[in-house]
Amino acid sequence: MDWENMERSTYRVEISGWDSGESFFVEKVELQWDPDGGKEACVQNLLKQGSVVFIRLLQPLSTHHTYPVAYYVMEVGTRDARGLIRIVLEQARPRPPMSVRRLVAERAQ
Amino acid sequence: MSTTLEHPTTNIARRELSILVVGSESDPVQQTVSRLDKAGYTIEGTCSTQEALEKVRVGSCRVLLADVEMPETNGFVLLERALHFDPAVCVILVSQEYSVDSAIDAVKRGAHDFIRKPIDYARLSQTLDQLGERFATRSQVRELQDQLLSNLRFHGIIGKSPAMLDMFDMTQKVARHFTTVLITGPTGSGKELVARALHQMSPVAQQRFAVCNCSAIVDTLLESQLFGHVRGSFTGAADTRAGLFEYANDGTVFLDEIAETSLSMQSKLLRVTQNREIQRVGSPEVKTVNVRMIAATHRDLRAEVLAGRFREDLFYRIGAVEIRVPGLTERPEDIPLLVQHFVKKYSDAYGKILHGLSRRAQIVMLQHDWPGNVRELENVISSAALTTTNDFIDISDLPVHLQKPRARSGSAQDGWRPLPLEEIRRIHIQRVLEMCNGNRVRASQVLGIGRTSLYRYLKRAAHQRTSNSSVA
Repeated sequence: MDWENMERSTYRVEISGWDSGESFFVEKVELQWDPDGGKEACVQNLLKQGSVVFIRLLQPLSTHHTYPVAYYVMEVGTRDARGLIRIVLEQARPRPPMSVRRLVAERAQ
Repeated sequence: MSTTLEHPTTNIARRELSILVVGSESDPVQQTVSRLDKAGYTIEGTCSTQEALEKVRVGSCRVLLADVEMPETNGFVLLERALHFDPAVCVILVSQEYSVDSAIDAVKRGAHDFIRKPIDYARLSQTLDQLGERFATRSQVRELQDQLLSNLRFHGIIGKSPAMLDMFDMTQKVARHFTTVLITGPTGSGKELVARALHQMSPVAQQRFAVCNCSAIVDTLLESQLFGHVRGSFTGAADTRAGLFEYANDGTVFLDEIAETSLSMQSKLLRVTQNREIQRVGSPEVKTVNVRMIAATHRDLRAEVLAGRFREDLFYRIGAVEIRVPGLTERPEDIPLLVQHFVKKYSDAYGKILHGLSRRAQIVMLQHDWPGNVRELENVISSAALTTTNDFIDISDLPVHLQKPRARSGSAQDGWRPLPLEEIRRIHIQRVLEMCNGNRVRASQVLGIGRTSLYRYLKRAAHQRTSNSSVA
């Protein structure tokens, strides 16, 4: 696969979560997915860095129900001339249970 | 103490009850461990309160048997910290200085029991066996709740409240008929799930079900998506394509957020509902389609019609049959069921063992207003399931804003108070008249009553005011 020549992909998604004022919000935005795996979007609501948002793909000709996937907001930009704020997203991974974390720590020692 | 166990179920309950003994001196701790181990309990001992708290935090003990008189950390401080880490842990405090007052104080502070030294092992065993039985019962209840949950599903929708049962009933009745349906309800209430249920129960369940979110695409592209296009009809139309209506011919098309479409698009949709006709973008050819249309919106379509943003003729076409999906505040009794469902869903999705929510987390969930409805509730459980490291979700795992108690709307703090129905009617009519700048014709339309009815009401109200002032 020629990664350098791959173009950015754009997807129409629904993003939901809690803004910096802790109010629940839902927006429909364009998600940009870079060839190197980076994902970003421009939103109206001001979000906090490190907060969790949920992305659901909106597919115009979808026959299957889509489910929300959790992402961390890694970067929050400033509001641009359109009134939108650029955010960078990274998929959230579940924290392992404490028993597993302890086991890993013991093995590392 | 006898080491002979009488009942097989007691054996199992004792083995499954993990106990940790904490004391300042090694010999008494080991003595207690040895005696309870011979009785069939799963038990460990430690002289370190740090180690004890760590074990509580990771959930490796359900019962903590702790000496009150420990130089390192007093038993009551250990109690408070243990409950902070795991509100479900049962702490039994042991003390040389026993009194009824101190026992009551310990229980008030969250201890399960307070016993004197030297330990009466017969009494302690009785207490431990009761705990074991309680945990076993709770586990059985959880299994039964899971079974019940599967019985309370209606084509993937969960609910047992009267509002939802009425909606299921209506959906079932309507689904049998190949007719256009309008689904209304607040954002995040599950309108798409209802649309899918309608399709699954319809005569065309074997045919295609296609979804189009009308707010997700700009108007020009939406037309192409719905009706198709011919090559060259616009920039980027490199080939000829069928649209959604042709794709789902003989099946169902679900148009979500239909109120977000332009008036121009609405006129094209009207043609589909009236004449069953479509035209691809850039083509003169008229095609016939046989499609059941289901539309959904979170807006009040009547208000949109009055505001001139939605075509009245299309409204009457799609709104002949309306199914209203209630918001979560209208069905709070479904919240525990939904929580249970999402805990299981995300437990499986994230590969974690999650049994549910702690009692205090459950209370928080029931007190929240849920402006985002089921979508918000699902996001809360998903977020908590991601971050928790225990097998029960506690308050500290919930999003920060839920951890702070908040007064529900309708409480005394926001000025609400119960009023007679006539008074509520009077205030509402007054507000609508103000909103319509005194225009009674417009006000009667917004209120959904006849013009004559409104005039009669206002005349009666004016007469009453006059007679009240003359009496005064």
